[in-house]
Amino acid sequence: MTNEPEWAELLRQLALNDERAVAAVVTPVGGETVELAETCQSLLRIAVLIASDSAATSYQWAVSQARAAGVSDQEIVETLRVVAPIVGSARVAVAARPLAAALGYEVDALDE
Amino acid sequence: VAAEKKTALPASTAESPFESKLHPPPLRSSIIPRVALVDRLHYATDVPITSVVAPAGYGKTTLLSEWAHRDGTRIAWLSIDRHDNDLNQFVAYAAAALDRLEPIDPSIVGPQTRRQSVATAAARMVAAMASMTDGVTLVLDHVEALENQECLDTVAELALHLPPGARLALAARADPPLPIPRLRARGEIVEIGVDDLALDKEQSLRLLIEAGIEAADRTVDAVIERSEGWPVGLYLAALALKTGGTGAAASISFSGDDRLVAEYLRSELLEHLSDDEVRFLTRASVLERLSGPLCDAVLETTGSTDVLGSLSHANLLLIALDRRGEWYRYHHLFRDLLRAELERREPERVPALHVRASDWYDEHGLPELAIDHAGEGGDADRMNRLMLTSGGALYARGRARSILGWLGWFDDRGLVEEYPALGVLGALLFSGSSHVGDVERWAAAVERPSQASALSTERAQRAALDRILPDGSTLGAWLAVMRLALVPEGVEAMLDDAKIAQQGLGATSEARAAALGFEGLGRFAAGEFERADALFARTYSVAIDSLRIPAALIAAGMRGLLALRRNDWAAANERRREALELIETWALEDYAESAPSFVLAARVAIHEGASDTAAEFLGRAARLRPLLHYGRPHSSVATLLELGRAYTDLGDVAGAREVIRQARGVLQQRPNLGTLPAEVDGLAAHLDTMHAGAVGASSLTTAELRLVPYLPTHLTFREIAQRLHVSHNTAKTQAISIYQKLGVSSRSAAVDRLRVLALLDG
Repeated sequence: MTNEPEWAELLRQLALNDERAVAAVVTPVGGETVELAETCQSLLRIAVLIASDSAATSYQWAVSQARAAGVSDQEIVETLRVVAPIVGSARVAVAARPLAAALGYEVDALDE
Repeated sequence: VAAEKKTALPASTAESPFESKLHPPPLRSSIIPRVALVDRLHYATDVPITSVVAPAGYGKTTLLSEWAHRDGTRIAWLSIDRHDNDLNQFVAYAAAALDRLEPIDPSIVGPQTRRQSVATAAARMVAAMASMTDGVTLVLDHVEALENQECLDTVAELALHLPPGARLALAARADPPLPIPRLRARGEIVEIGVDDLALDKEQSLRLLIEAGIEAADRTVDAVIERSEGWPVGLYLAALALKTGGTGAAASISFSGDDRLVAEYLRSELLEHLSDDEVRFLTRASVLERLSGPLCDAVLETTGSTDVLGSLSHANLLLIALDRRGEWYRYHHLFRDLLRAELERREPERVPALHVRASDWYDEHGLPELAIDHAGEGGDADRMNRLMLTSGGALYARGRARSILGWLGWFDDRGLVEEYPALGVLGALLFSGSSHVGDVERWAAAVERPSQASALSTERAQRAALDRILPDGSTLGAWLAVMRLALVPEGVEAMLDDAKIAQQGLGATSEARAAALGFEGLGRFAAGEFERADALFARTYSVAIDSLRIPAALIAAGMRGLLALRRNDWAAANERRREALELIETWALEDYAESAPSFVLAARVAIHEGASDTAAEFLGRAARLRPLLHYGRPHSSVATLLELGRAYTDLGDVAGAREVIRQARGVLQQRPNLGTLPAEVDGLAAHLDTMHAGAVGASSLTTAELRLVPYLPTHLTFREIAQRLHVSHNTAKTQAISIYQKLGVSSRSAAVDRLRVLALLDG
């Protein structure tokens, strides 16, 4: 196979849990990769945070990045709707709170 | 303008009761000396904090006063009263107290106009104390009168950061506002309580003898036993015995129960005084401080100076506050009792007494006390008049808290609808503060009666709007000025309102300059830049002439931003110089009106390639972002837009986007702002063509910026959350976000970084 796309090799290495490949992915250096649009990247990051049940501080940072990339708050909240069918409503409900906090809204008004 | 620069410290005149707050009451020979306790204070020089906490009548003031007289010139004294519940006022008095000891550089404490945070206020007081040539002790007496949270936090903050050699002493009836556990753990506090202050048997006997009681009197032992060493109780008993009481003292226990003492005062003390004396004592109890002329006016009598002189001579419960015999006050407990007695005897007289006190203070140029007494006398008309004529000046002097309190007085009584001009005043004053909720509330209160009158005839409505208010303006004109500020109907409607304001405002009305400035902002929003420039030029000269400096400042800043649009850098530079001089001279750096000037200064600096200067002015502008809201949508959006352009010029796309987001938030509330929405969209579209870059301090949200001033204080995040009325979690989340944007991992590192960025006072 000579006409293999560039990323196929990377996928294979990742599937084998190749340490160098994993390091290359988690190290945030652009390198020779094809970049997604900043808005797209930042929304993806938020989607993954929702799916992986992440900590509130991660949302905080991701929202700041998304806003800096020009994503509106409306679009950020839309992510919840988009991923809901895949990750399930329970996870979305859990994610709503830290996401709201990161956006500067208090949804836990009843707590105090 | 500079010649009339406001001084940092309150003026002292013979007629003002304020000077007497700054000195300990003169000592009296008949007082039982507290040698052991004074020694304890005197020699505890390595313990910075002293708290004296006991109920009324235990001699807290006397003890501190004895100490002051012993340590002589190194004690700065401040007697706090309920009028001091305003951070600016409180800091100004504390500074004045220090100044009486040794002149302090006014630039250290800054003018009273300065809006300050708890951290800034405490830092200023610390700096003032540190600047003194020798260790100084600041005594705060009657701290229980302090209720305002900012003032209380400042005292605690000061206690934790006293400079070496300086000391702080507090006297309070209960719960001094100090972080006691922390101070105890650091071994930094001497605590004196009831047990220390109670007189022993020998001292009690001496007090009775000094008060003229025969030691052989058979009731003496019983009196001493029952009083449990409570000095004022003993003293009351002595007075009672002397004036022919039956010695009923022996049959009641005092131990600080106010009800019993009140009963005692009535049956044993007042009963034996002449009617004239009782009337004088009780009626004068409406006053916090007493002078002969003031009592003459309030009691509609003559010769009060002599009465006060002889009373204070014979009676320890009336305390002379100065050696000239001008000002006195009752012992606090005694006043409470007399006040209750007045309510019992002739409650119908109380309002008139307060109203006459209000008159006297008004005539003597003390509007705040005049307004307070008008309120206590229930005279809404008088309060309305005083607030309309001096509210703006008081606000300009940083007395926002007091004004809010007075407006609350009307609100509590459901009177806002009857006094719509006050609602306008409230909305206008708070449109320049971060209390956007208050702006809305007051504006809504004003609209209620106009809705009600929609049911009445058109003629009745006209008559209401044409009513002339105490400042010589029509109500209609005031309402128009409010609409010019809040722009509820969009910029087109502003032109009509500007006409109404011009015709209806009194020749010397406080609102004249503001109305012109708002009209300029309306023209600016409508894209009529030349007319806007001409209006701002006029605003500037009217505002300077009438000393409405904030209005002058916004005019200068906006003219500079207009010059930038024409690429006229020379004119922009000239306006920048003008504006910065005003800010400097009048200490207006924390006012919303300064924001356009800081943005102007930043953009000029960017143009000149002075990146450090630009960064500093951007920081100073960013600090004011929480004040840029839909309470003044035109100036807010115009300023945010230019701030966004400044960030864009520097390639800070993330910062520019955050500012755009804020501007869009304002536009969501006030969409009809002429050409401004299109300009905001245009800048946003331009940013989409740029690379986003890193997120930094310029991306702090307004909520995060509101938390920033609390970071250098001793307050925990839970306490900060309470102050900001948000949940504990929210405050923590915001703090983490601030750390992330600053690239730091601790509160102290954040504070250092914020100082470098000019987001906090260095």
